[in-house]
Amino acid sequence: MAIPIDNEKLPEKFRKMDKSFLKHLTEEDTSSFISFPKHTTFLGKEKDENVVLVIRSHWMSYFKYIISAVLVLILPTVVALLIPSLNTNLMLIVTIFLISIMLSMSLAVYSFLMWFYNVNIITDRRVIDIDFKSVFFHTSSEARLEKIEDVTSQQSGSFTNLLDIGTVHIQTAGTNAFIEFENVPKPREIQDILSDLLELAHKGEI
Amino acid sequence: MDNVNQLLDNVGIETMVKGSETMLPKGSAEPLPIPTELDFSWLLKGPGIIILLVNIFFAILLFLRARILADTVVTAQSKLLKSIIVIYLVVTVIGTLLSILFLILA
Repeated sequence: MAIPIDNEKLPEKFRKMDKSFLKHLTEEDTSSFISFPKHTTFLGKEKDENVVLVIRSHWMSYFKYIISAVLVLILPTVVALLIPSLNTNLMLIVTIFLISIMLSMSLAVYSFLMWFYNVNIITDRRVIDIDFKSVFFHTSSEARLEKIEDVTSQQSGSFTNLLDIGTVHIQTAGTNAFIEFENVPKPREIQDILSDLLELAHKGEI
Repeated sequence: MDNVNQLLDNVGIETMVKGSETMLPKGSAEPLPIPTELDFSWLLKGPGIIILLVNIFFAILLFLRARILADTVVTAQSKLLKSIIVIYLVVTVIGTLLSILFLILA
């Protein structure tokens, strides 16, 4: 759902600036691209630190899970049609349907959580990348703006061009040399936002 | 048949039941019915129980992972998400118990 953003939502220190990245940030938000979000915080956030952008992977990245959930939901009907002898045991049929509903629900919740917690945060001080890889582990990387050396956006394939999704590679001077924002919407805009923030950080304006 | 049984009694061998196709010894258990078609129910019950146990384990892991991540990032939708994951866990536990009960009874 698109949420319009007005300039009044910009933090005080950004209002006086005349930079191109502010234009991208004042465009309409989507659920995967939220500029200057209210009530958003993270572990280790400083008092006067402003969250500039919250980015999540495009929902198309989780399409395979959505399809799997639908297939698991359909499967018992197919099994019941293929094995007619099962239809005599009503309780067994009900159980098979119950199991398929629960598996489908697990896939749906899992894909939603993956979408929600595969989150990238850009603040006026740092960049944070949280990757929810599986139920067994997740990774969390961050780099301060002054440590970022290079920002590259990459879009490959017709599908990514159609939906305007891509990957943003952030090269840092730290031990964790790369931070990647995978399958995010508007990768060129994100690159521009980061480049302008880096410039402002180097000048000491933010 | 009675003559045969009398003869068998005399030599100390158990007598046979008259009229029985399976000709089981007297006093033994009922003959097991010979299956005329394949019974698929047990083929589904075993894997069904394993799938249910794996699913409940997955749900618990997902709940714990979500709890950790909820402390890492807090957004306006975090409360809603916590509710979703708690409802999901409760529904999964109840559904699993019901399914196992139905599988045993089926």
